[in-house]
Amino acid sequence: MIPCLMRSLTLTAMGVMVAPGCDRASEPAETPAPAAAPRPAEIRACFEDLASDAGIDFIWESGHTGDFLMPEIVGGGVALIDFDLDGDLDIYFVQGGDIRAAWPDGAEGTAGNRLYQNNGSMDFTDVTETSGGGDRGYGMGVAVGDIDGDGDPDIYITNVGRNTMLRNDGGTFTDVTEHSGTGHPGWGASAIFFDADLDGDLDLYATNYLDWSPTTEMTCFSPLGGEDYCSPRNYLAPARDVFYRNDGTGRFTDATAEAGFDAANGTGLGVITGDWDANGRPDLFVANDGMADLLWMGHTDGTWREAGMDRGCALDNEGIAKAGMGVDTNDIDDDGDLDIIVCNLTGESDSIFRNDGDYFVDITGRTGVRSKTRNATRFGLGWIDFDHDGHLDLYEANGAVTREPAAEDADPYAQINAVLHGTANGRFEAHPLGDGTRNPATLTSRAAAFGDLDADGDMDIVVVNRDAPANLYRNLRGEDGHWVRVRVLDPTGRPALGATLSGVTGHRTVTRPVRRGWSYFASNDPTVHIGLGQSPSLEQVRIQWADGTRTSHGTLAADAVHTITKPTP
Amino acid sequence: MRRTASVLLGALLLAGCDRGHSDVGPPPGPIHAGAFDGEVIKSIQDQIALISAQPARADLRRTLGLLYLANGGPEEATTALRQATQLDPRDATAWCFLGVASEETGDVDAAIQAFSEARALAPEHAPLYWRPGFWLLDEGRVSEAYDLFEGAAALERGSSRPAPDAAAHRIGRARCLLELDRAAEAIPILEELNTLVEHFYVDYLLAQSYRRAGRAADAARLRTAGASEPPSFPDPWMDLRSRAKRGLEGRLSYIEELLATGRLDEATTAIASARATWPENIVLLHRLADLHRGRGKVDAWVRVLKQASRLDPQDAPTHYNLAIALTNARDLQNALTHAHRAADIKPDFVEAWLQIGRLEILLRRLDGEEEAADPNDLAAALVPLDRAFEIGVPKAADHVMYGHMLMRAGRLDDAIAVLSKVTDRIDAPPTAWTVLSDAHRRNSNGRAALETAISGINRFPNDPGLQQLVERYRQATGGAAP
Repeated sequence: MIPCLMRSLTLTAMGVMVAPGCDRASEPAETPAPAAAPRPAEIRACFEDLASDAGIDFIWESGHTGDFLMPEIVGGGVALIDFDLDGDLDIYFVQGGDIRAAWPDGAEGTAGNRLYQNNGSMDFTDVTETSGGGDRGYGMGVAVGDIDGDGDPDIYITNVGRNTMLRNDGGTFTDVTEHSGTGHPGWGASAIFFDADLDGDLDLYATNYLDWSPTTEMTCFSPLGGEDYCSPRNYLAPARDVFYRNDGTGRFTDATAEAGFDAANGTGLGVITGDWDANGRPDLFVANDGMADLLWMGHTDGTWREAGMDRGCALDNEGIAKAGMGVDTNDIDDDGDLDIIVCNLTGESDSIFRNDGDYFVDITGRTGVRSKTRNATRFGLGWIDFDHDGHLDLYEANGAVTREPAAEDADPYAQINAVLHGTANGRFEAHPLGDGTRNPATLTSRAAAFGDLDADGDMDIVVVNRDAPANLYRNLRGEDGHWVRVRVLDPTGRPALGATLSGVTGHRTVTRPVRRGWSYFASNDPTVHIGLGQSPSLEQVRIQWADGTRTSHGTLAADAVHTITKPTP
Repeated sequence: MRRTASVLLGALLLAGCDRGHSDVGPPPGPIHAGAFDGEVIKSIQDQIALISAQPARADLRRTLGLLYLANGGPEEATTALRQATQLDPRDATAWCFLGVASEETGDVDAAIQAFSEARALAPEHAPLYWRPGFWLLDEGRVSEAYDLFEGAAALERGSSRPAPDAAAHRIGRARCLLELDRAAEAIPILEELNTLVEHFYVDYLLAQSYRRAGRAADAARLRTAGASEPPSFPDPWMDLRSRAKRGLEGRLSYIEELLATGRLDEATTAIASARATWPENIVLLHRLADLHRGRGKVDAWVRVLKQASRLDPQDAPTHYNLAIALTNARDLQNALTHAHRAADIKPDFVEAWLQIGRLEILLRRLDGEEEAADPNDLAAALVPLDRAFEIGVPKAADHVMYGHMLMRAGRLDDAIAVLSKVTDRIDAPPTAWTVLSDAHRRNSNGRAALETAISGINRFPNDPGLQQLVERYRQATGGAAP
């Protein structure tokens, strides 16, 4: 190795000396500048927090005043939603407050959810009052979807207590919970809209965390001494999720039992959809906290059957039912099908399940993620190519659920978020700056939502923090490579959730899902985003729509937003 | 002359050692103020005081390292144990614990290196092979991991009797092979292991292996479930770590470990020691009750839980556990009282409602000849069961019991709905098909009854109950049934 290295250096030095001599032989000699001291390679940040400059002043209020009430450590959520259809992403935050006051139907006096309108250029205005979006339940998560087919996105909020449906009427919201029939009274967690029965409208699946009320709260203790939050296992009260079928007009029917979703319950915190067995029917994956995760496989008879254990993604490869929180699905191995990642509790690493068609394989170890993720409790999660090098990276919003050793005046649940850089060999490397910023904010983070907030082509992040200001992270690395963004729409102009887009970049064929519900308690930018590295375009673009049909779309030029609409049959 | 030189050399070596003692630095204090308290911090402070008085004692620093390691301070443990290995590089256990502490701080390379040192000193200790093998496997360094598991296997092959930790290297090798997409080679290892131990994790891995090898039907026959902790394998050295746990949580953890591994005498001592400090702690009383249960002393089991219920009359799990103990003592009426008490205190306590249901079945003598059951008794027993299933019951076996009761009470549609869903589950017992078939028969749907029985026998071909059922149908149809 040493001779090679020396030869390389010699050649470089000769090149530097010879070239100027050729070009500038007749010019007067310049006084050479003193040689600069060698500097270590600069570590480049991935993100900068612009929240306060951008007018985002949201704080998720846990309401903690002394008693340790479990919901205080679990919320809250955030959605990126273009509610005013002006082409940019606005931000909707779900608020906590006083759980005792809010239980079970929301109450005046809780702070209420907040809607921030994007004025472009990372400048936001709080329009909660004029929009009517400020639900006052003790909020957890949020899902976004056009439930009534009128072209604008509606909002479903999961609360501890009655969930809320807000119908968007051209930029103002009306509480249509009663009318829609979706006011489930449990402890709602993550929710997701998807076209379960492929009839063209959006149905709704909402996870429920625990069968809990303020009166059934327990007293638990920290190993560090004193009271602390309980584990969900202490309650012995997993809850059943709820599935609502849409009649097409925004009225829903509880079809949980009819669809087969009552065959198992759990402590659901995260949920995603995908057609993992490629049978043309949407499946669901539910990340349970401390219980086996659930994989609901859609069958052609319109029912779902739980197959997580059968297909190898209910437990990790040590047989552990981990504390599932955030979840995402994407094609990590370029084989055209969607894989799954779930993030978990301190001491438990993330789980990456590779989809091998008939079953999943836990490949966490071989991706290098295990030792890099197990020292924090992760919630918000995104499998996204932040630096446009063509490989999916990983962002995780972290924060403990039980007290950790900390300075007296510090937040004992705070943990630094994490960026893991995806590499060409399928492994992930921890970013040297931890959370990828110059000024790491060590907070108790929960939801993270992902989208291109400044319309520059790369993916930015909004992070919700418990009792601390939210972060608005602008992506600083998008210019490192080319990209394409594709709005994949159904014939009515809505995001074609459940479709996948694939295309060739370099020697690889990448596949990305059209998805909106992923991460934790979050709704995200549904525009498909692909980093291209140095490729000038994405070629041989094909879309497999949710109903299994396929279309081809040729080549998409890099560094542009494209729109592809499903042809009307 | 030779003797003089030898003495001089010895003196120099000792002098060198003395320099070494001062070089290793002071014993580490806690990194975070307030991270340890109560008995834990007192033990640490006492140990640091001992080291300050005798800084050259490697064993004292090892003990300090163990105290940190056992009580949630791996960073401090790493420092103390590194000092111990500097003072006594021939202590294999210190290297081993240094490796464990390093791994817990996330420094896997340092952990692997420390275990390499330990293996050189104690090459016969199998955990020094398989433990880092699992770490390497977790890191995706599969071939290195496989070599270490093979090392542990070679030790067992060279021994005249099976090693207590024989499962570790087998599971390790099988997982390596699965990582390498060589499921067919993992299967015989796991099948052999399945004959040696009974553990859901072996079933789970075997099911995964069958599935990946294209043997889905074999996979479906294995009942698998999840755990909250990774599988652990016997390693006598790690007992030192467990014993170093301090504070109520730490001691409870050690006691639970002893109870789980059947070391009841040691558990007795540990419980007595902890109760000397925390005489009225409910959780300790529950562990004492577990100890009596383990020894088969039902009266003492009941007595201790009664004591716990007097100390905290509002603790639902205590009443539930007491209901279980009283059920075992055949004091069913009092058991029912305490099960109801648990459900009153915690209305969503599924297990309490289930236990009420089970006790109603026993008290109303519904567990015997079923045709003789009074419909009113059946309906009464179903009230708590309905409540439990309204809240949500996880275990398939309980669903079968519920389905059976529904069927006997004549709620055939409900029974068929419950049982049909159970048969979709991977952990469904054969009785799910037997009862479902019977429910279809009672519902005058002979075809569905036969199809259910056949479906069950396909899943469990060797189950005698299902075989009898199919035979009965065969006879009833004059041999026409398949």
